[in-house]
Amino acid sequence: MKFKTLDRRVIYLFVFLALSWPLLKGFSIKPARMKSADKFYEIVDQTKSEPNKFAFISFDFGPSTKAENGPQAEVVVEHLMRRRVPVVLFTQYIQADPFLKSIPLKIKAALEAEMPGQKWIYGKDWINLGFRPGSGLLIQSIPKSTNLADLFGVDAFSTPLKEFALFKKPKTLKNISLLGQFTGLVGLFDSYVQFFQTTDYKPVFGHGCTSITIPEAYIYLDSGQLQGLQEGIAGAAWYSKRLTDAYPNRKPDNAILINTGLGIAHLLLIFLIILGNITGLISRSKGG
Amino acid sequence: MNWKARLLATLTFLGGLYYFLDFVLPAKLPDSLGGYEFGKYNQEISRGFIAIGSVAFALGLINIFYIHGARIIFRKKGFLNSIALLISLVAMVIFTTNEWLAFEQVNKYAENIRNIAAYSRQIQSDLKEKKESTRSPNARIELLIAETEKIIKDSEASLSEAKSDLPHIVRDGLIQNIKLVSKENNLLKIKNESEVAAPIKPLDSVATALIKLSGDRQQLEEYLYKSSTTKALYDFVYDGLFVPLGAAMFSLLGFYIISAGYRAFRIRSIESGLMMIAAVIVMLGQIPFYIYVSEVLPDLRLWLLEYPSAAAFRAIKFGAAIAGLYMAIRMWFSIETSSFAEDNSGKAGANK
Amino acid sequence: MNTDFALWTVIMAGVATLAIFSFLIKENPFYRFFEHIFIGISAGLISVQGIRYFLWPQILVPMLGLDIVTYPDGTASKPYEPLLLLYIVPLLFGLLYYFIYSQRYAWLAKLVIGFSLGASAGLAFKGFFAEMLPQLASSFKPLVVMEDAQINYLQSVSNIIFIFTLLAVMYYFFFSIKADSAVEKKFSASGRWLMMVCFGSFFGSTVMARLALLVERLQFILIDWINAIKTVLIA
Repeated sequence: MKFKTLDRRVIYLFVFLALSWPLLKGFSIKPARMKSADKFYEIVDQTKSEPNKFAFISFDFGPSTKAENGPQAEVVVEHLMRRRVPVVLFTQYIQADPFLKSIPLKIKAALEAEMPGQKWIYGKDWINLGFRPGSGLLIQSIPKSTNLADLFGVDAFSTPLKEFALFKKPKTLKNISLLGQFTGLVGLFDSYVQFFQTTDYKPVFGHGCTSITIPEAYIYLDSGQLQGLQEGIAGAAWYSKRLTDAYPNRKPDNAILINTGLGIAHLLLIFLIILGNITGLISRSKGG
Repeated sequence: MNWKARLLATLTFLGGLYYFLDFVLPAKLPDSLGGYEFGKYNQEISRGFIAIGSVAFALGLINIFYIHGARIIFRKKGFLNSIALLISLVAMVIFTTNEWLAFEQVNKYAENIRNIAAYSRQIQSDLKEKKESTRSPNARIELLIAETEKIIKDSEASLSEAKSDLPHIVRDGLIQNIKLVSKENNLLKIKNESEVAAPIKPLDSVATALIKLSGDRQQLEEYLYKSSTTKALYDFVYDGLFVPLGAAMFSLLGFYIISAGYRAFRIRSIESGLMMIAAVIVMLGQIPFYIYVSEVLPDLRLWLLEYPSAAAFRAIKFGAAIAGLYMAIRMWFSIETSSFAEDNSGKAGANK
Repeated sequence: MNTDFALWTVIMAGVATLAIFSFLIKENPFYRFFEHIFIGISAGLISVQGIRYFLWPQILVPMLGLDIVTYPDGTASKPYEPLLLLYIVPLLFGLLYYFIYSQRYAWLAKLVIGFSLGASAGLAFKGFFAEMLPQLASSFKPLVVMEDAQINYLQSVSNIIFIFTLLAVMYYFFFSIKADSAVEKKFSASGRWLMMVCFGSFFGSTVMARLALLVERLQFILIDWINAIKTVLIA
């Protein structure tokens, strides 16, 4: 009877306590293996640092999904920057604009602290195109463009793209070796799947999704429209672990800590579902 | 069908015509048909389409002012919150506009340097192509040298005014590139005065040095801007209110989903049992604690997502995609006979 | 001063988060106040950013020739392209949206809405074929998978389950045909059950999404915000 009428606020308190404890203790354990994140890792690892080729990374997330998409974007951009693959950052979602500025700077600081003597330079290792509205209309114009510097014009700081060494010569879709897109917005992801290709070329596509759209993303992985997938924070945590294994001097990040807290919350939910069903069964059998 | 409905149908059809033709026609028509590149102006046309929607930015604002303004004027319940809403809206418009203008100001100096670099390249290009101009090449180069000297003086002045806590990497970069620009400019001056023909190669060196300096100048101005009140206010509202409020709103759902799982998730049929089993496998397979239950859980989760779940969702997706295409065709040809297409003149047509 | 501002920004962020979380106890004026603040800030931000990042730099600046620089010798960096004036057409056309507030002329707003819907419909053709044809192609999986001249039973059974699930769910959901015979009824029922498996995996994934946001916010409150409070109290 008591369990049946348990106040929801008591449940909220349990949730708060269950999630607070690992965060305060800094308790983290090895994340579950994510094979799709492994695939994403491998496609980035196989992306070569070639002249006139770059990775096109789109951050299409805001504060509401940054808990999952933020760590995903960070680990991939870090991986690309470690491999010295030039990264062009872009967003179609206005709330992602600050992340385009903060994330590469954070990674640059971490890498330069880890590897003193090495520098990562804006304009050479990464370029920020900033926010561009237009959704599908803009994305469908990218493959058609004969010079991406003309299409985008300037970077987020109003510097003409032709001033950068990467864009001195005309660049097209064929110069994009990897497309990475991080979003919880299904519409934007669909636009990339539908339009970011020509009849004879399609860049390798890795996607970081929020956990809600994981089952949906798998159909694209199956059809070959995606070559790599990061499944929410769990995917980011596994990717982060792979980076730490490959680069032992790397400082571990937040993803694994958050992932551990999540694990406890999941167990709490399963326990409550089982408890709820048992109490329901008991009350039904008593005729109440 | 009256003339308004016919006009609506025509415009709806025209709206979709370009992108439909872009899909069905080849990128370039054969020479026998004129060799026309259909997508030649795709960039400009796409911008035009986006511009149509962009102009409507004030629609939401007008609605907000209408609803909350009425609440304030008629002192309805919650009018104090409406006052807070409108104040925060106006404040955010002011802060964001201020931040934008300050950002343009930050770019102004670097842009000026880039423009002079572009001028240098323009002279170089005109000399190579032997293009005539209103002034002689030497005279143009003299103007370039004078402007470059102004830039050097301005940059030196900004550097000396900058506080001692300016990061040394910015300071050193500026000092180095001011010297480089100065050196290249002096070289250009000497060659321009001593040689009969206008020097071409030094023009490129000056342009390259100016571009490097523009980057450093940009960094200096950004550093100064970061410690400004405008930036601090904007960051306070954006990082202190907008971001945490948005994240917190969505994070409430975490509490609700657990509460709902306890109160509402009951296994009463085969379907709910199957759903529950699938949910538990997926949940346990994605958390680090799977090792305490079974080592095969991540693989089982993966199999579930790759096969039965993906297949079921694909079937749903096929249905939704075909329905979407069907609706798109109906919309495009105005076959759709919803109230949207009807003539509602005389009735309340405003979105309230 | 900026360090103080940064500190107070963190404190404000924590207060705002707790205001929203207070809704869990009961709806209260504190929550309502911050909810309204959020709406106001969002509306203000989005309206200015739309002009800043698109209308001004991509349309108005080139159209008005503001990107043409006059060099020291009086020459222009580039000639003005008169065709850019054509941007006035979509701008004026887009202004028709505002007639939605007029009872008499609301039909003008429908013109621009219809045009935009038409554009979406035109894009939908390419989108549909680009997205769905690979999906269709990859649905034709081999029922018997051979590996090194031997049958890979796991892969074969998995493929059979995949195709059966696809057909059963389509039969139940897409075709909506009334099932008369026992076989049809069982096939339809299996489609329904397999759809439940899909929904179960959706639920399991959604849980992670929602909880990730919650964990991130709790981490901010328990670590960053508490540290900021301590700094202020010590100071």
